[in-house]
Amino acid sequence: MIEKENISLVIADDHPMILKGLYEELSANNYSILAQASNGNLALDAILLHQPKLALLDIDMPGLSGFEVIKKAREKDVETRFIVMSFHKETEYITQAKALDVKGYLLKEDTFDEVERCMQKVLKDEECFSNSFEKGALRNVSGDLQRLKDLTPSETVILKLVAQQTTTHDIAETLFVSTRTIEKHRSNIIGKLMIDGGTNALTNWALVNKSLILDL
Amino acid sequence: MKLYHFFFLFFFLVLTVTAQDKDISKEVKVLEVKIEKAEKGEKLFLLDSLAKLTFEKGEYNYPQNAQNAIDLGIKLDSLNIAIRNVNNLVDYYNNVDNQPDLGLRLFKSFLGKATLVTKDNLLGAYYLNGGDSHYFMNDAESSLIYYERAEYYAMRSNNQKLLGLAKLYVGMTQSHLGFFGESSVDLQRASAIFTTLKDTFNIISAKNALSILYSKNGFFVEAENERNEAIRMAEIKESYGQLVQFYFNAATDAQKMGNEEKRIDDLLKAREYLPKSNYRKIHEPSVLAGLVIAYSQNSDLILAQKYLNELNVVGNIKLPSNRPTYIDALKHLSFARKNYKAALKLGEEHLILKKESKSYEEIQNAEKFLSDVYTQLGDDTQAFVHFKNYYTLKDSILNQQNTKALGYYQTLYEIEKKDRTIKSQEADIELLAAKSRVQNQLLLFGGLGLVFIFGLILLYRSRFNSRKSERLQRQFSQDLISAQEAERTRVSRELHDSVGQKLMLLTRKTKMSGDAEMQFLAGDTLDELRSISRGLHPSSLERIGITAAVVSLINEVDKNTNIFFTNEIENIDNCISKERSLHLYRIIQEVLTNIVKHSEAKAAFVTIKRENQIIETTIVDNGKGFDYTSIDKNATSLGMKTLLERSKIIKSRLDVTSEANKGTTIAIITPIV
Repeated sequence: MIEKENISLVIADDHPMILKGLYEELSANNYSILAQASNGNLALDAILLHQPKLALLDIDMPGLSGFEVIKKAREKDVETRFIVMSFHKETEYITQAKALDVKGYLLKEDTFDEVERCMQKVLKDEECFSNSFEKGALRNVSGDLQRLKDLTPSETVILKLVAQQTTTHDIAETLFVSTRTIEKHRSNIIGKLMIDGGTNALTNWALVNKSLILDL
Repeated sequence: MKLYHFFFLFFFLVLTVTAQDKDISKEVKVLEVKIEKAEKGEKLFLLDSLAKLTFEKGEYNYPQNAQNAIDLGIKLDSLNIAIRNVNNLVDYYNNVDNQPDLGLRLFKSFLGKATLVTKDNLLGAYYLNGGDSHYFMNDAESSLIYYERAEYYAMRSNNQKLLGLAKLYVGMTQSHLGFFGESSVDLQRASAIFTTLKDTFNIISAKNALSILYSKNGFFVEAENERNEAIRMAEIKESYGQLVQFYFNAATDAQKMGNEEKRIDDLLKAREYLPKSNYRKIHEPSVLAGLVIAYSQNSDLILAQKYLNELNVVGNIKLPSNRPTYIDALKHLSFARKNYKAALKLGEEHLILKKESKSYEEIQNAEKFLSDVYTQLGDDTQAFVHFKNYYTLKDSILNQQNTKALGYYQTLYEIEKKDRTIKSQEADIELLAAKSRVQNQLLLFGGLGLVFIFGLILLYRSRFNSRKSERLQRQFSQDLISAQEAERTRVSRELHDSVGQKLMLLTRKTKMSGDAEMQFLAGDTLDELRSISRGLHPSSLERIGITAAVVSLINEVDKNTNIFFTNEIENIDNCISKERSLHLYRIIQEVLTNIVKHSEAKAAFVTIKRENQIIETTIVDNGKGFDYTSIDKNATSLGMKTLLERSKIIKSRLDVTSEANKGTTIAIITPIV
């Protein structure tokens, strides 16, 4: 647990009501807020100036978007860690956040408790995504299996068939596509799940995690 | 009293108005030198050339040149060359030099050889010229024989011009001899032939002869008609020689009709044309003598003497061929001067000369003159004898039969002439009809052409308009699509900015309140708002980029359907503008929606490749497919229409390949700009 007083913050949101609400809650809980910004450019300036431990950024802002602010700040070798607070729940935003190695992604409707929990996690360099994203089956698993979230529905279908020991040929027939397509999907799945090993690695992994996979 | 017509027989008169005399004299010299050296055939050829060169030019010694060619031609047995030169030379003597006696001698000298000539048209011409010589020498009967022979050869050689001339001269001679019926037939034939040949000069001659024929027989009106027609033609042709004749003959007719004023008038006109005539030598004595006689008979002795003086100085007046004319003038003047003794002497000489020529009309007049003279001298017996002669002659020749025959032929001729007129009118009518036909056709085709042009213009206009309206239509639908997008974006943003933010605050508060039902309701509402907002406008397109947006779109569809999706998408962020990205995204969205709604596909593949300056988007499904062309034609599918419009907005090509039960492939080629 890091002391709240020691957590220096920069917050940014273009909606004054939200910004004000967040500021009031944070300051009421004794967080030290170095600056608040109403657009991307101001946020970047404040981060570069104050070098806070943490920055809470909205994505949709006039000028620079939250992601762009993060990119530019990183380019300047700022140590600040980032949490994105957004209206958007779409997967591409999460994918983008992950691509930028942003550990925290919250939705604006998340409670302050969740925000606090997330801040602590991120400061410890742990990932923290809003509870709203967690899939039922994956809520309690951790590590490698968390990556199952990244699979597309079609990849999930294949993985399920693989877990049931269906051959690639049969999968292709079942799905009315060519075996080559299935091979491609398999290699994509291997890539996403970061499974090492030979040709049968995916089959073995699927067998091991069969029950979890079938619950997806 | 003078009742005398003349006509001239112009034959093969090629008016050689050639190069300058200087050139000719030079050439003549050259030829003469050559002739000196040449022998036989070559010499003949050169002599012939010289004769041709100097043709009808007395000053270059034409007669001698021609004679030389004739002599050598005979010697070398080149009769064709010889006879041609004979023809030309005789013609020259007859018509140019006014020495028909020489022409006659030459003609007669060749008669023996003529039988050996093989060329019919040369022979025809030969006899024709011979006839002329006889005629001019007042031997009309002989001339008739030769003219008829010429006619025969002309027919054999089928030389129409020669035939026409022969007939013309035969007719003239017959008229001269009093065979009026036959004469009129031949003259009309000749006239017809020349009309066919369009030989105006000789048509005029034929008309002249006819007019003389009529006038001799008292058909003065017909005579005048023919003559006036001939005068009109001659004036157009500027044939002054003929005009002289016509006026001279008109004077004769005027005298016969007792119109002395017109007689003198016509004679003066004839005299006026004399200097321009090519045949002045021949015409001059007659015209002047005519004037002397006319003034004598009208008791104007001063003018009569004046013209006699002119006549006396005419160069060839002393020639024997002009003797009768001259005496005629003298006798009338003597009579007018009441010098009856001299008149008697001249009258008797004249009668003798005229008897030789067998010209009935003139003999008759000579007899009448003598009768008048004797009456004045008081010798009634002699006066009666000559008067009786005069009357007998008049009776015998102008007997009823002849006149009747002429009347018959004249009527025939009139009918024929009318037929010809009708024919020519028919031809005119036909010509007019043809013209009007052509005009009608012109009008028709012109009209059709105009209609066609108007049609073209209309077609062009309508095409232009339809293209314009099509363009406007397209512009309109594209604007509509763009406006729709703008509106959707605006609404989406509005939802996000106002309702969205407040709903989030609300959700947070309910979460903190701990009321699970409210918390669920608020969260659900927020999620619905999100999906509505996203449906209206994918904000990620701007925030993250089209690639991720498209992937997310596909995954979304993948998640909500049983269709098995495979995608292979290269990064195309920042390749095209945001607006174009949006349209491309919408196209893909629409295609995916169509697959889900209509295709019954089990699997779909989405590929986006970036190659050089092109983004190639391919969406394939294995569904039931459809007949793309029918949909396109009926344009019933708004979705497909929108697709096409959107692809046009982003300047892309959209290809649809579809076949029943074989799936559908949609390819979009978008240029990177």
